[in-house]
Amino acid sequence: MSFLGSLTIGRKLTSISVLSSVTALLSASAAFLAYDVHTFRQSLTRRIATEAEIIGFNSASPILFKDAEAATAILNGLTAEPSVRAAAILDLGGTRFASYSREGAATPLAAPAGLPLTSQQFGPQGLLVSVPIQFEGRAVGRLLINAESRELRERQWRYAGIVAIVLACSFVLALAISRVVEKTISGPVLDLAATARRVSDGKDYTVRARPAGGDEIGALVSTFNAMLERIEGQNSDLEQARTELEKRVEARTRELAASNKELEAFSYSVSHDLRAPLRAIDGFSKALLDHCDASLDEKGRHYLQRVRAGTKRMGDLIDDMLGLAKISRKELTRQRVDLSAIAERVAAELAGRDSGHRLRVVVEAGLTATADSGLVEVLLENLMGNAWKFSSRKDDPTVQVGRVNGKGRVFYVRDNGAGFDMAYADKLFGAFQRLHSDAEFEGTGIGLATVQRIVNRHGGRVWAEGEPGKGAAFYFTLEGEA
Amino acid sequence: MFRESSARRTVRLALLLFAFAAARLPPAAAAGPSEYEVKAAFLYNFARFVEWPLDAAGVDGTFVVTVLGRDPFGSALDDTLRGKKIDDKRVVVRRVSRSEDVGRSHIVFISDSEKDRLPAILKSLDAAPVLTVGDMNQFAERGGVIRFKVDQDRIRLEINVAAAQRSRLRISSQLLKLARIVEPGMGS
Ligand SMILES: Nc1ncnc2c1ncn2[C@@H]1O[C@H](COP(=O)(O)OP(=O)(O)OP(=O)(O)O)[C@@H](O)[C@H]1O
Ligand SMILES: [Mg+2]
Repeated sequence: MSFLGSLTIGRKLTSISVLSSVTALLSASAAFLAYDVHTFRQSLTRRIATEAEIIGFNSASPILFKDAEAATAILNGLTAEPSVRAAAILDLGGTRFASYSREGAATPLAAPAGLPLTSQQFGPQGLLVSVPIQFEGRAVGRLLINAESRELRERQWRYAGIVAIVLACSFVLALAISRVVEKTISGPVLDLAATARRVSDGKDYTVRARPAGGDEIGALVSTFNAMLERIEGQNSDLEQARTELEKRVEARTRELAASNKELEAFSYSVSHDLRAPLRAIDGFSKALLDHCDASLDEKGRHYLQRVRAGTKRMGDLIDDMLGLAKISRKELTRQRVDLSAIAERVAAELAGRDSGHRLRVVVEAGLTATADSGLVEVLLENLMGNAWKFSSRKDDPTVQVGRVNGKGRVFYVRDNGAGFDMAYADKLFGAFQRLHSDAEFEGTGIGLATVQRIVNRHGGRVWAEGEPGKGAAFYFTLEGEA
Repeated sequence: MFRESSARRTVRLALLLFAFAAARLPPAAAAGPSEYEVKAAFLYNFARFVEWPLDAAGVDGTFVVTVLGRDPFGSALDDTLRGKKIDDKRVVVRRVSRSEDVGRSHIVFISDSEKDRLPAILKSLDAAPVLTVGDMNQFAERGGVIRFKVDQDRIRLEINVAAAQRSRLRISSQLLKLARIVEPGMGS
């Protein structure tokens, strides 16, 4: 049945129904025909046997009186029986005494050798009946009648015709019926397929397949629809969860920003308020040193010096903290900024800071960004200042400022200085976090925290790479990565 | 179910052809029976198609066939009827020359030699249950019951039904249908 495989369901149903109706009809016809042949033969045999009985009875006297004419006349009575093709009366020796043959039938009839006196048999010529002609209980001759089944054949042709017509009619009828049935079966299936395609193409889960009856296809359709409903429900649940999450994130961000601001304001005011007492300590310790210099011994003077150094350090720390806080509070004004020019300026300033330093600064030309120029300057001051500071012990300190891949938005500041251990790479950016001791390289540890703050305010990103003794590289972007 | 093996069909056809050919050949005894041999056989056959009344001759258990006049049969009649029985009666052939000697007979063959005396003979047999048979001209018309008439090498029968009825003989329709029925006095 593989040839059925590629047909549509409708075609399959049509073929099956037509095939089964044709098969049923043909087998019924065959059975009927076989039965008809059987009954026809029986009735033909009965009819011819009766005829033979009568003729046999009437032929006794013509044989006894050797009246062939009379015998022939008797045989001619067979004209009334159109199925009889030929007949003959033979004497006991087998010699033909009289014969009859319907016009058109050629061969005169003879008894096949060994044919019993009484016999009825069907052969290629049709029915051959032989009866003895008896007189006074003794056979005086034999009568042979050959009847053909032309009538049967005609009937069979008629049947074949009828069967052909019925076959054609039932074929057409089966076709029509299966067309109707096809609609009720393949219609819903096609509808289902179209719906499934709409769903898979358009991701539209609100469509529904048309419900189709209570059969298996109907069950399939309703299952499909239930599945769509579930998906739709899950989708809307998901959507709801997402918006809820967004709302929550937004709220948290707002909360966070508020508390951040609060913290900044707090640290600003603390730093600010710390300055007044510090100034008092600084001023009075200086006054004490000036005023009582003579009355103090060496030890006392040293202690006072330590107080003054600590005060200064604390003042620096407070200034740095205020600076950091200021950066956070400062209004951000974006504009086209020429990073190359700023870097050159910073480099010149660094060179001027220490004339004995053989620093080489390489700045890539044409570095631009849309950013706050004041903050960008602070950023580059810090990064290049670090690079200058941590490479100052090298023989040929070099600082490079450029852009990753020669284009794009990722800038870098690279040096060949002391470098750092990558294990602490993310610690660098914390306020007052330092990887080198004050004795080695002095500093407060607020520089990279400032850099981080500036980059954050621009919506960018900053990260570091380094290797102890080989150098470090600091990468940053100034725009959000869309 | 109509089919036979082709070999069998061939054999059957051959047999059929053989039988057909054999039928065309003259019978084995090439010389046919003589005229009177046939007539003798017919005489015997008449006895089988005719019914005699119960009071007919042969109470002694014989069936008597008498030839009146000059016997044309030769030995044929005796040969044909020898040992034959009709209605369980032994057949006896007698030959007489005078009608008075006919006596109690079932069948009387009246020879051509008696043609001039026929009316007298028939008269003497009048109403007796005797089947008169002859082959002279006008035999049936003149009152005989059955006449043999030779016509183109064939022997035909003429039957005078009235004469038969007068003799109280019942002739089977099977015999009658083979014969020409003759009315008395038809010819002359
Ligand atoms: N270019 C660099 N090479 C090696 N280490 C560096 C480099 N830049 C920064 N670091 C390390 O990161 C630490 C933090 O740097 P940061 O700029 O915040 O502090 P600082 O330079 O020590 O002090 P400040 O900048 O406040 O004067 C430094 O102490 C140093 O250990
Ligand atoms: Mg620094």
